[in-house]
Amino acid sequence: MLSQLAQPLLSGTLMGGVYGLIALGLSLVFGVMRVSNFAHGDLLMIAMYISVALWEGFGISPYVSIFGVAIFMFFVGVFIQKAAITPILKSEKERSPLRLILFTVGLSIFLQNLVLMIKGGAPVTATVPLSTQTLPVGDLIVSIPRLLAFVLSIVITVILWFFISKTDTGRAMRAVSQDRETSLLMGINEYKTYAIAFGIGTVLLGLAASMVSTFLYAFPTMGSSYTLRSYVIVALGGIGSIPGAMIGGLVVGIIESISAQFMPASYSEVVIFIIFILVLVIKPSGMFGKERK
Amino acid sequence: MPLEINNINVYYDDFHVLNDVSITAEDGECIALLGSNGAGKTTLINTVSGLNKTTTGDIIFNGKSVKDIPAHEVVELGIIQVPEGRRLFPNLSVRENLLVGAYSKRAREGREERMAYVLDMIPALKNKLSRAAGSMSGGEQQMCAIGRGLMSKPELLMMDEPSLGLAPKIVEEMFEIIEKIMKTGTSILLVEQNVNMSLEISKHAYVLESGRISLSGTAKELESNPKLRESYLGI
Repeated sequence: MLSQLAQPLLSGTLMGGVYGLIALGLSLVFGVMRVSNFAHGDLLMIAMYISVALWEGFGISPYVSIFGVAIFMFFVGVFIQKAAITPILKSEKERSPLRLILFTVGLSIFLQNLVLMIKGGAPVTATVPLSTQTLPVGDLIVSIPRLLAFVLSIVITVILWFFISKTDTGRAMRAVSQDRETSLLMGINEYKTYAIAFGIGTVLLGLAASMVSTFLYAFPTMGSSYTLRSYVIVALGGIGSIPGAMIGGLVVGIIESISAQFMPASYSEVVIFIIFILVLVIKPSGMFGKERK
Repeated sequence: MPLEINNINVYYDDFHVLNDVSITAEDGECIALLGSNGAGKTTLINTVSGLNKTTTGDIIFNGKSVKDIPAHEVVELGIIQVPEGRRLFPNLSVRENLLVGAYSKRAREGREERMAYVLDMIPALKNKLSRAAGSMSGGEQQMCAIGRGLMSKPELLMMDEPSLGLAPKIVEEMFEIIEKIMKTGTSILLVEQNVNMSLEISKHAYVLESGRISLSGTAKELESNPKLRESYLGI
């Protein structure tokens, strides 16, 4: 029994780290500006397609293009923020989430269909030489690209944590998330802070997308399951909490992987949503979340 | 003359909050802005800070019009507000709150020295630097809020009801700090309900009543003016 669980536990942990990284961006954006981004998973999908296209078209391995993709995704994020989200926020006297939810859902549908139109619906992946490499550890088999993705996710999370807690920009982000109006009185440019937060969120997606594009398939409608998974993780870990997102990611990864041992894989989402509902009922602020007034 | 507010009018939707208000403050002096609740005192200083916009008139600071400058840039001119109810960032430590106070370009350079100076001015903060601001008592939070304002390198410090809800002993301590700040040449616009103590430390005072200046003059004149109590208490 134990050895039967060890392998899914390992695979779930590795994948959970990446889930955590993906959810971090969502958590950051929601924490700083209270915007629910329903196109989060679709932006991951876009970054994966770019990564695959660079491999198939130019032979540039995702492990090489990762930083280029991340920088590109930063500008994508800043562009979306400045061209759409900031004007919508500015036009509202009393901020209500409805128009932005409609915008991000619309963006999600647009991105899915854009990719469907250009590349069709068939799944794509970047099969690099490393893709199929494995490392035997005792009875277990560790997939090398998954291990790499996990390690990088942890490293990036630590760097982000350092950035948010130690730098002036990170401190300004936390200040804006706690009290918008008072932040202005400190000389913090609220909308610039939002753009940086959204940009960092999409950078994290670019990094995650590059790493998973070597062992996961990208397809136009994959985004929604990642968006939903990210929401579960953020609720589990607590909004705006960096360690919360990572631990939430690990929990979801492990549950998914272990429950797939006992039921069809598509049912594992059901288990995750049961946990999601339980968290919302028992501790709505999440494991690491601060109670809100 | 560092601050000159000329005939400003501010509306919240259809509600006329400030009606032709004019105020002048000179270098290094303390102006008291008195008035009962809802008279428009907070609206007035929020307008100077750029959080509200005036439809008429002008606000001139050191010869420059600030009425169309966004709030976060007003800070760069040295117009700093210590908001009503302290408004600290509750999950940030005291030290982090002070550092956020020095976020603006004008205050970022030399902020470590400035922090030493602020802690010298408000010694009560010294051993609380790592405490979460939200976990402190009201008096400690007010001291931290004033410290945060000082970190911004103010030329004009606007304090909105700093004595609100504090114990008398702390109020006294706070007024001592305000006097110390004045001695450094910083102008102060003090919004207060505590009439006696405010008049004691300020040179000029204005009384706001339903959005209009109903009385103004030197603090001495106002102190002996029977109308002050009337308009203040709204009788």
